[in-house]
Amino acid sequence: MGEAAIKLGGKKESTFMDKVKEILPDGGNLNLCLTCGACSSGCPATGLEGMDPRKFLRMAALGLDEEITSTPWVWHCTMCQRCIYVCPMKIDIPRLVYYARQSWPREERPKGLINSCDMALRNDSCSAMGASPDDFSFVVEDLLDEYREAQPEFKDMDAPIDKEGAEFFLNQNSREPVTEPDEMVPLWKILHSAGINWTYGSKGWGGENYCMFLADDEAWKNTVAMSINQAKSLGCKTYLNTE
Amino acid sequence: MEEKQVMIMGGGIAGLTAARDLAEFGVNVHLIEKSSFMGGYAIGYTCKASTECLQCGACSVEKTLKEATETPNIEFHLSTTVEAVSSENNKFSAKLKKGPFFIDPERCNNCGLCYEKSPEKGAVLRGYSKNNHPLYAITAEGIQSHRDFFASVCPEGAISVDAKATSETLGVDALIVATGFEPFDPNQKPTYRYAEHANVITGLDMERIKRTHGALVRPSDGQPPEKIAFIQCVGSRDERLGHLWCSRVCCPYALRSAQSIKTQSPEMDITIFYMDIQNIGKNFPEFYQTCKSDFRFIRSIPVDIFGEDNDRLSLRRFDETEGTTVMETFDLVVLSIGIMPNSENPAISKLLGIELDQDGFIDHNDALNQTLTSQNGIFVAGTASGPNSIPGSMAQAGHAAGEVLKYLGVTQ
Amino acid sequence: MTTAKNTREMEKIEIATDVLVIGGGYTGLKAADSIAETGYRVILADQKDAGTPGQSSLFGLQPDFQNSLDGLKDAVKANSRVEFLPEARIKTAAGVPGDFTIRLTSDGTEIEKKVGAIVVATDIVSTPLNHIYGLDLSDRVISLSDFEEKLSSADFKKKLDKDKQTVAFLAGFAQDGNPLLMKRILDSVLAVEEAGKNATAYVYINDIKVAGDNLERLYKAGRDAGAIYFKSTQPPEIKQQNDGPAILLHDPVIRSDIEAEPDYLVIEEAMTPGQVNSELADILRIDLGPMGFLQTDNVHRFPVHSNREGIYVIGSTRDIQDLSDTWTDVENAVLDIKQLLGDGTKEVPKFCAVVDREKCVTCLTCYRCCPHGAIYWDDKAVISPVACQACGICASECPQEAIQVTGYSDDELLEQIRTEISGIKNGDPKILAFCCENSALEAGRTADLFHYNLPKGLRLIRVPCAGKVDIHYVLSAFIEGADGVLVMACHPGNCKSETGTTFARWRINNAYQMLEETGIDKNRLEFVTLASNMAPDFAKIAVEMEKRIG
Repeated sequence: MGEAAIKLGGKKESTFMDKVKEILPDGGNLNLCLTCGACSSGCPATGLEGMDPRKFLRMAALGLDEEITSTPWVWHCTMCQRCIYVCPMKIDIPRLVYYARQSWPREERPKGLINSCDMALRNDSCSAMGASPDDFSFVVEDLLDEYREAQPEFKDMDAPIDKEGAEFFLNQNSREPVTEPDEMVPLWKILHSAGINWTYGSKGWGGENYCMFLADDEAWKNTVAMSINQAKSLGCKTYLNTE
Repeated sequence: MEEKQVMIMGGGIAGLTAARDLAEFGVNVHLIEKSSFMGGYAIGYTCKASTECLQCGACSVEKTLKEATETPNIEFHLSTTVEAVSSENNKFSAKLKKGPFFIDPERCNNCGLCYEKSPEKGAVLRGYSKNNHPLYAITAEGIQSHRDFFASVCPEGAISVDAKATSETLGVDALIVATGFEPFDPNQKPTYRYAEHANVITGLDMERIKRTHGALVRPSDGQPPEKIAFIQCVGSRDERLGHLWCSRVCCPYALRSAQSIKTQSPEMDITIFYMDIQNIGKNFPEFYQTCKSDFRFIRSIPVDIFGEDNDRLSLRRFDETEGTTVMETFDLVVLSIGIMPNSENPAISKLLGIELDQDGFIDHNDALNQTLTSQNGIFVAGTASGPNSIPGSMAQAGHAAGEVLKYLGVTQ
Repeated sequence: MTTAKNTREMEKIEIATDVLVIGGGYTGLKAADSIAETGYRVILADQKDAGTPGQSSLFGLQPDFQNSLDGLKDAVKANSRVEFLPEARIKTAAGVPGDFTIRLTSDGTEIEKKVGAIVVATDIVSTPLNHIYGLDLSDRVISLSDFEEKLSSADFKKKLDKDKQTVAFLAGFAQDGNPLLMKRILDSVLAVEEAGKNATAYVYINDIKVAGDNLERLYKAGRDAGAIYFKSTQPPEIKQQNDGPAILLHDPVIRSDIEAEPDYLVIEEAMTPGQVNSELADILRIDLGPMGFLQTDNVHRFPVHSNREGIYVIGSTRDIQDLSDTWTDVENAVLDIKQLLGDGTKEVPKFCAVVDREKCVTCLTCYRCCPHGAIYWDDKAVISPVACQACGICASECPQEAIQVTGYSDDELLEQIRTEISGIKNGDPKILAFCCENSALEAGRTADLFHYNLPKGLRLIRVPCAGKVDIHYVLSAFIEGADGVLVMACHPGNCKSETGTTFARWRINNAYQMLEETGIDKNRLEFVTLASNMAPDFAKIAVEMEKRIG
């Protein structure tokens, strides 16, 4: 490829991959690649930035830490997990990508992700769109009224927020209440028809998780804790993650 | 000397070979087969010769079945299962459940009338070989749905619609487990969409198609394909599925079939997607060279198959040279499925008190002697103990027969 | 159909029951042990030295297994039923099964032995392929065998770890390889990785040959321990410099060149039969197969048969095998030997292929063409009823027509041809198919039973081998009024008598010329090859013939 040849020098002390292996159960099978190419066949990000999952894994295995912690490819990865799903050796490439993301200085990570995560941290909704708990309540109630009226068969339908003792706690991608509120309704209808006892939370309803995609563990933990604590305080038994 | 009795569980190539070898030494053999026909999976395999024999061994199954059929001291127990086994003083007692046999083998002359006139496809099964006798078997469901038809169709009066299952108890001196394998279920690899696409077939489907049509055709329209792909290692070498073994037979059957197809249809465009090609026959270097000039070998395992117009299939795979994914269209995709342990192995293990290995095959107790199980007097042969070819299973069966003779103290 | 074969008169003969085993490695020792256990006396002719079992690592074994091999050796040497002949060389082998006369030297002394059966159990030879890579062996570029030797030292392994050494393995570019060689490499790779966390193994390889017991698991263990496999269809470039080997590979995984300067470069080895195999093939008159193994790749020979009755080929004599497969071979050979030799008396057909001593002119055509080595001569040709497989090739080749096969004599077959043709209804194209009983006859009968569409005027003539079909039969069929003649043989390489298909094809080619001269359309005669499980193909061929001539 015109590039200078890579020089192998035996085992390097404590490479990036070794660190990841320590964290993962069974070392994430990171050593076990058969180079069959299934991961790269199935990956939607194959070929972007001249990278593919198999190459990424091999570079990590060879201790090419600088390359794998600097390739912007890790941000093209959608974390869809297809590579591990089709891998005959069940190699946890997604986690390797995740830790590679984490090795980037926060401020150098993609702007969109930083902004979305920061926004989620700024409000109790955990909404990356910045929708406040009040805005959310207003949209939900307004929409519910509209549908109850327009579709008499759903006149008893409910979309509760902070209902104490509900069986299920639901979160919600905040794109819908902000830009496409109608898209929330089908799920309400299903839950209503199935007679499910559920609730949204005024706090932590925002289900999108940009802090995770940003690989910012601390922020991710904060947003998730906000949501889980709300569910707990309402006495909900099951947390339904709709994302 | 007292006549020795041996029970062999499984009438596939391993069981047939062991039965024939034992019978030649005057041992009375009870060959137990749960299905309606002797021969196992392998009796359904087709000849894979190109312009010359490629040593697949399929004809050896035909030959061994014939020899076993012609050997007087082998008793065949078709449609029979072993319900219980107990042992005392080096004697085994086996309780068998037999039948029901709706066709009386004594009267049936294999005229095929019941099969040809059957009001429902699948109600009458036909065997694979002229040495399958009776050549036909009627299913219990078939009898139930078409009682009157079957009661009157046979001119020889060989069909009895009221036949019931019976039991029998055998006393035997030794046992050989030759219960075979199970082909990998391709639905466990859902991205290949085997259930969805008619023209995504397994290696075993390919055998059936070739046997029925005398050539490989597409299931969707019965037309010969022009461009086919083989995907190797489907279900084998797969830690995710807990299958940490190479099935050993898939490279051989894929490449031999490909050669035989290419001989029949020289224009056929054949691609093999693989990880590592395993050796095939003693003359592998020369054979592989021929294959490389006749087929395209791509060292990359595709994972997605999408449907196209005219039931064609497009495969998405990784292109190693370009570092990108590419889509390519084929008429037919053959999944080279591997050899899995028989799903009844846990039950067999319990029935006989023999151990299974970590993969679920029947364990052999001695690292070097592959025929000894963890129980004295019980031996194993063929794919019951792990992936094996036809010649390999036959060799192991011969070995097992030898061990049985030693165990029984039979010398000539 | 003729059934004479089953009503043959039998006769009892006395035969020798001693067994000659050639080869003193593991395979030979195991065979001697097992054969002696059945009660036969064994003459173990060690081709190499005083019974040192072959290097155990060649079988992919750990060195500690050597102990049990040594135990086997001691047991065999102490066995009163085994006569151990050190430094043995087979000189000549004459005779037939049950009555072989072997002349050999042992420790320089000439010996003659009478044996009933012969087992060939020679060892495999492992040769480094450095020359194919253009490399010279040195301290750091070493053969797999030498590296295995080094790994048996604990100090060596300690040093691998302490000095952070790297070991590169090179395999699959000079040859295709095999599971046994793979096992040796995988074992060594794992040993390097297990020497300590600072020792590293890189493997440059083409196909990973995991089609053997537990090899996938062993392959995984090595990777799990840290070994990295560079798989490529193209070999790396290797430079041998003063300060050690340098490897340059274009890695298809990362699509870049990768350089390494390992401390050791371990070179793959070819595992081949020794030169002794081709010598033995000549002396014993058995077929030399592909790659120098002593068995053709013919399913009728598997697992341990040679083309000659009473001579068995086992273990690495016939293929690359691990110890458990070798043991399996040994037990299969024991079974065959027991069946052949029994208690020293044998029932044999009184007539098999029989030579008319009046007609025989001792031209030895039969001796040369018999694929089973069943023919010898006094002043005339003699056919051993024990060795004869009744294929009839000799009968068809004999220029004097001095040989007849019981049940398939010329008179019987010509009579059958006449009867079958005259039995066909007028109006139906008359097709006579000469069918080898091992293949086409089975396929034809299956086609009939399965009600495949077959020409009404088709009749099958059973022959023991296509090699029994004389030109004379074919021409007679046309003279008797056949419209078409099919000669149906086994596929090349599948003929039970090895050369029957070749003889048949050659004769039919000659027959074409004769037909041309007599003005009979060539299309009326067809030579085809078929297997027993090809009933649909049989039907297709017969129907096409009918269409062609109808």
